[in-house]
Amino acid sequence: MPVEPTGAALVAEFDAAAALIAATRRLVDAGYVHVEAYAPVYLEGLITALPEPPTRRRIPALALLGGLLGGGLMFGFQGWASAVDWELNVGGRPEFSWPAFIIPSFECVILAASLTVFLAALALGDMPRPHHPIFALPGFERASDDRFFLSVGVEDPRFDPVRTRELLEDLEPLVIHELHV
Amino acid sequence: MSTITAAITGWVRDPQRKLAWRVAMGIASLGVLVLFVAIGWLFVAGVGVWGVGSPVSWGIAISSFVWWIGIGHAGTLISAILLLCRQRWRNPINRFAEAMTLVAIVCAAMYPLLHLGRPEYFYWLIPYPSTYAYWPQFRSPLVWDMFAIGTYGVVSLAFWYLGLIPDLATMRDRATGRRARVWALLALGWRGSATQWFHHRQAYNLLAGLATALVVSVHSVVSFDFAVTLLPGWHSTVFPVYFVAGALYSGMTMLLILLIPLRAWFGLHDFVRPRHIELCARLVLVAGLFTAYGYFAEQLFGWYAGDLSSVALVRSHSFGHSAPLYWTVIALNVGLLQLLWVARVRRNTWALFSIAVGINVGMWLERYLIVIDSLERGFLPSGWGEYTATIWDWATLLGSFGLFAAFMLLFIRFVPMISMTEMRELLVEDDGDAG
Repeated sequence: MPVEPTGAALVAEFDAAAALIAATRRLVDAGYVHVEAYAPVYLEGLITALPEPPTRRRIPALALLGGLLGGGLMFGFQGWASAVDWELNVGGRPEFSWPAFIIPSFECVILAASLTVFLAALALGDMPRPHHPIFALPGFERASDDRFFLSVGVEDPRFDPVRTRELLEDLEPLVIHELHV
Repeated sequence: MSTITAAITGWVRDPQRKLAWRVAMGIASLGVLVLFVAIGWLFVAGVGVWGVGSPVSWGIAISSFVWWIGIGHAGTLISAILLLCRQRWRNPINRFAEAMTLVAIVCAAMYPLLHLGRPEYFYWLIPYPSTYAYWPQFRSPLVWDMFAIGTYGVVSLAFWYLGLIPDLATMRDRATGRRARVWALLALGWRGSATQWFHHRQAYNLLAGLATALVVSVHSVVSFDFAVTLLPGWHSTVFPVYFVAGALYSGMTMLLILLIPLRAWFGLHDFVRPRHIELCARLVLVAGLFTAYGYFAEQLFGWYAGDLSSVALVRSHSFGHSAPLYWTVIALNVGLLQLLWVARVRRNTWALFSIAVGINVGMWLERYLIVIDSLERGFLPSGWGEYTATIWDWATLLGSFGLFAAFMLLFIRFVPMISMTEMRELLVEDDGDAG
């Protein structure tokens, strides 16, 4: 998984998406693991350039689970409520009128799956989290506008104040920031 | 990229045309006031203040409900279905169309609740363990409706909000002081890390898929309110398809009605190009032709079934009791539509706006025809009757327009109305510098 800086870090700033992706690849090829990239826009190749990208299966699997659980519970509940707990005879139709129960069950599949997806996206993206150390970086507000950032944490086993900086300078960023916490 | 950010955040941070906005909001607020008065009187005097009774127990409140829900469907078509089809041209109008969906759901959901007769017990529709130890009647379309529309509202909100988060972060990073704190709370700590983008994108696509399945089900369930009931003209299997097509049709025209003036008002010409408007017009044409086929199928089935009551309904539509209304609907929804075959008409915003208004009125009248005409002419002539909407019916309808306008005005004033992230995405793709 890409690792965001929790303490001090070196952060390189770029002005183009391609430069960020190329720089990320170089840094990861050099063996760094405490690396994360920031961009104002979704970039197709960025996540695969980072070390150990997250699996694509997690959110869909959770959605399937949530949907089946939501729909299954709703279907069972309707059957139980209409045929067991409160036997309701409407026009002589069977108490367990399962075809009619499909509709609320279907809606609950969608509802539960959607809420699962929404919450999973937040949780896996480390949200909600109103503050984060990276916000202390001067100029980071442009990460939501037109600038691209690449961070290397000091916790990285390969981190060396001099050599890491040299490597980042080789990537020709606009500027290299030091993040102090 | 910074030009996009500056322009779109500018509408929220430093609004131009404040006076015009205030005047518009003032008019909309008057509409909301009318709505409050109408609802207040309904609460005091009961549902009888509307022109409903026997045999017409569903008046324009229900036809307006069907119409409003339909308006919402176009927003989901643009935000979810066109996303899955990789129609990039949807990006500039996506956020706006989705806001329209949310507000239309609010306007629609209000009607059936007010129509309950005893609206204070609306929560009896929700299954909860009560001291009365009873449960809702799960075979009833009214309960299905509650689930369908409730889910539609929640999922549309989640989908809209998820897409909004990166833009809220942009607002946060451009604001100072107390405003920055509010935006920061709303942005939930978005920082644009590759991990966040990855999960965000995947979740957004998944929600689009779920919303697509949902949107088709919602108007189908609304149509079950009718199709499950034994009345001539209602008890038909064509209803779900017919309703969904009509929903997209009226919704797309509503989008044009909102988008064309807004584009002129805010000078959105750099974002919403003539091409976008023309593509919307084409979607109107497609949805309209589907709806026209629905009219044809309705007539055909009525005649082919040969059942006395359905033949009587076809006759009543074509030559009898409801012929004036029926032919107005056909003229507006099928006749007027044919103008959209002409490319020059599709590119002329004035012409397009007028056609959209005409069709949307036609769609409202169509809902009126479906709801009221069948109730007026049931199986037994002894049970026939007439319906006249009262001033309180019209006041509620007028008020719902006020509510819709007020919410849309709040939206364009306080929320980035074009998705900045999706505009940036178009830029990155055009540059080909995504690596």
